[in-house]
Amino acid sequence: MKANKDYKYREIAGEHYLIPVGVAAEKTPAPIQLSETAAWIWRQIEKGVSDQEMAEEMTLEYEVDPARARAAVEQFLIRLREQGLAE
Amino acid sequence: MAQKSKNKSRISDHIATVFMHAVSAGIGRNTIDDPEFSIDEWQILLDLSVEQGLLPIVFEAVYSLVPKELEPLYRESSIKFIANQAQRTDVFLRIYRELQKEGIVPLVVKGILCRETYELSDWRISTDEDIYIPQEEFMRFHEAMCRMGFHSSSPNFRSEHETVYKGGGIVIEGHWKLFPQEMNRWEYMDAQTAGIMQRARYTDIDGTKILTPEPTDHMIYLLLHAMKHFSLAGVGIRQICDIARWAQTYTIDWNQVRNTIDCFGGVCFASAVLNVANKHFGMEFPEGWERVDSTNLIRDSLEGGTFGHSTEDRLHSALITFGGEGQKDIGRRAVLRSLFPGRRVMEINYPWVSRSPALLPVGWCVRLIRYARSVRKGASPIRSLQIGRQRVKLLQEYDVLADTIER
Repeated sequence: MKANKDYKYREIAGEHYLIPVGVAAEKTPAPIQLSETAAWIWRQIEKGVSDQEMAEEMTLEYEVDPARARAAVEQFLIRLREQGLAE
Repeated sequence: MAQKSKNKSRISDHIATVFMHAVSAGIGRNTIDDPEFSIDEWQILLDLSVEQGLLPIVFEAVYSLVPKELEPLYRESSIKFIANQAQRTDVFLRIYRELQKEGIVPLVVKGILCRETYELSDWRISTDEDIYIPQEEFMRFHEAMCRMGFHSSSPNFRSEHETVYKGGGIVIEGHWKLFPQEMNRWEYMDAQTAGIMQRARYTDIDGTKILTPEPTDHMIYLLLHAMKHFSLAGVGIRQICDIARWAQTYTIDWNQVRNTIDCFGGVCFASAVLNVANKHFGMEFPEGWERVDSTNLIRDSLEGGTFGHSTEDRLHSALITFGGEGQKDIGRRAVLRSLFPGRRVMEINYPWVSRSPALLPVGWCVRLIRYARSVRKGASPIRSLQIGRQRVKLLQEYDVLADTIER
């Protein structure tokens, strides 16, 4: 999965945002706030980490069981695709 | 947010110290120790940050300490500033690429170049971008900008040095003279510009190659630009941060900087600026330069906001430092001169005066009507005069020569 380059990730004063630029900003200019976990997943996508590796990393990072990590990653990735934030 | 003018005399030494510390910390994404401020003091600090165009940087350093009554408002502003800046940068780079496709390669100064020296580049906000295109190529640039949907007036090569383009959410100042019209020593400026263009090089910003001055040339440009604003209404803290960041990012030939700045009578002022950059923003003070006490410069910068435009009174005071006899006479003649500036000063703000010099008295009337309106809104001629007098003394303290600025 690739992050849509029309969204710039920024950590602002302890909160996480995706800032739309280019065509995305013309549609909706407002920044999108991400949760801590969503921001973590986004950064992994930007690094080019695969879905499976991401779930494994998440298991370690957040000390959750692998099934739950996989579900969280899959669910978030589906939402990203639906909203055009990643492809 | 509180009204700007109310805060002017409320910037205590403690608030000033915390502000400078917060700017320095925020640039490095660090936080500061709790200054144990009252809510009013927090409000002054945060409003000061807005006035200085530094809210995102300061807020990054203090957000965990700001009282909950104030935090949401300034957080929202900070996020908006950063998001808008990221979007404006993207638009500017797209426009620049479009111009390149048409064979137009402007030289970029200040704004985006300075932002790139900050770790958190979008936190350093710019209201516009400045580019230089030689006069012989300018009309081609102007036509390209109009085709891209930007709005502007037609370039007036006779009496102006720039045209402002607005569109796509950004403002681009297109200059055909790299140095501002107010600065004297034209022949030297033109020679300096030719040298800057010869030494210019490409810098990659987010995948776009933009033409930029060589680092020492750009340092000279930043210092002269700061001196121009200091001579008019004031130099902001953000300008000094930019100078510090530029010096921390690139290798600068400080001897060349001093020799060039000396031609403009600005070594004393530049030394004071570099002293602030060293003491507050960690820039190494250049060898061979003499330190100049910067206490009054910092105070003036804090009270003036970005470019000294914090209040109407202060803006009008510029006509005493700029339009009047300034350093020789700060009495009645200066007041008269501030009310009826010379033709050259009028041409800068009223370009139609340059096209029809006979309209100078009409220009004065328009100016007086505008000023009367601002007085009705709370501006005070007496306060302007007081600020003007203080600022003339400040110009004298930092040896900004009378003949450096065209009057």
